[in-house]
Amino acid sequence: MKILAVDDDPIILELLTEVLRAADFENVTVCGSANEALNTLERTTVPFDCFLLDIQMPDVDGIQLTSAIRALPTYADTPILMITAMSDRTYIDKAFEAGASDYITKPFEISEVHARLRVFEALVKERKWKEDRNPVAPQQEPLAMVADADFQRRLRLHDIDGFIDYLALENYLMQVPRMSLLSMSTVGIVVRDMHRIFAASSVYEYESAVADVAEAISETVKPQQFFAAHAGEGEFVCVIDNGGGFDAEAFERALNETLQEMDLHFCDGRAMSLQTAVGDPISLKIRSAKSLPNALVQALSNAETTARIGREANSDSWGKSALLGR
Amino acid sequence: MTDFKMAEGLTRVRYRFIEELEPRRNELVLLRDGLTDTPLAEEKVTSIARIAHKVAGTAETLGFANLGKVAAELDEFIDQNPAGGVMPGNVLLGLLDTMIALSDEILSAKDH
Repeated sequence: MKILAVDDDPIILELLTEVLRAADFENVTVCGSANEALNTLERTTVPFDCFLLDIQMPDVDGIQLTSAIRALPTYADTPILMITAMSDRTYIDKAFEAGASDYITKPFEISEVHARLRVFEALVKERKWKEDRNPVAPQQEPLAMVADADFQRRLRLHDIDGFIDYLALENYLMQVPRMSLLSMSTVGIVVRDMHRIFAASSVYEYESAVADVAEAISETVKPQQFFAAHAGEGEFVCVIDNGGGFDAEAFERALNETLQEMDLHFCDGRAMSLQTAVGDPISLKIRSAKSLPNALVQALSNAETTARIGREANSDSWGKSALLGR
Repeated sequence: MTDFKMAEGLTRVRYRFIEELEPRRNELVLLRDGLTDTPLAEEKVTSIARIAHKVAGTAETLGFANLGKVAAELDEFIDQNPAGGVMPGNVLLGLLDTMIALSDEILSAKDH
């Protein structure tokens, strides 16, 4: 795995080089500033597979650098690990908003850095394997009919406010200070009959619809603070900082109204009617760190249940009143 | 093999950290002098924060836990009080003095 580490402290760069070498990550390039890193990216012929970035650097900081890297098409999906002393939630939020994949605070445990990089290494290998198997990616064939593999893929929706990758959303939950979790909930959203509606559609139509729903979710959740991710098919999951209160039914109504106002159509002019089901929220206030990623899965499961058997039945099984703090 | 490689590498970085600590400690001593002279004080506090931030980032991982903790506290204190508490005997000076003293301990241990 070809790694680029950026930090203005030469001692950190030496330390990272040794830490990475000990885990057999030998192909490491280091830069002392964001500008030097951007110049390196411009010059390199073989792209980097992973970035390790500090936040607090003079001139261009690590968050600005993350945005600049994400703006380069080659690095749209490349894992970016922030390694920083900034542990305030403001920095964590800004880093993930800019496109960070994960976040570690200094001083770091060496084993922690190794563990995160192993996850990235597996991800990079899987992507390369898929590219080798299928060199013509579906997104290069937008008019092809949508297939099962297209439905399963989690789409990258970085251009939409609040949307980040699913893996980054899991990592975000693990990094948010415990105090902040007290006012946060996860919420799952499912587009009803997505598979059936798009069974005879093109990849372009399906992906555009996913982006439209994401846009509607983003518009409806605002101005509350949130991050969201596409979870494959017509499923989305949000982490919302709502002070502990969230009315799923009212949100579902507002979201469906927004979608209706968007007046969506297929390429052949047929109206596209999308209806969502919003699951009851999962409060994060009593979660252990290990069970946090499960809160995303449970939120999706709640939304699937709502879509399948209706809100009231779902509420009974999950104790809606308690979750909404009523 | 990996553990051996790691120990060898960390020892090398530890030496580099101590080498860098000396000029950083000396700069802190200079910055401490006349910290109460405004308007220079704010600029000096920013420079102290920069050094504390860097030391806090690596000291603990390299085995200097106490120094790392004090440096992190100092960095955080300045971050939360951007104007800087510049009166003698206040928290800022207390943390700064502790950081200088801990740096001296590490540097004198190196000399023996």
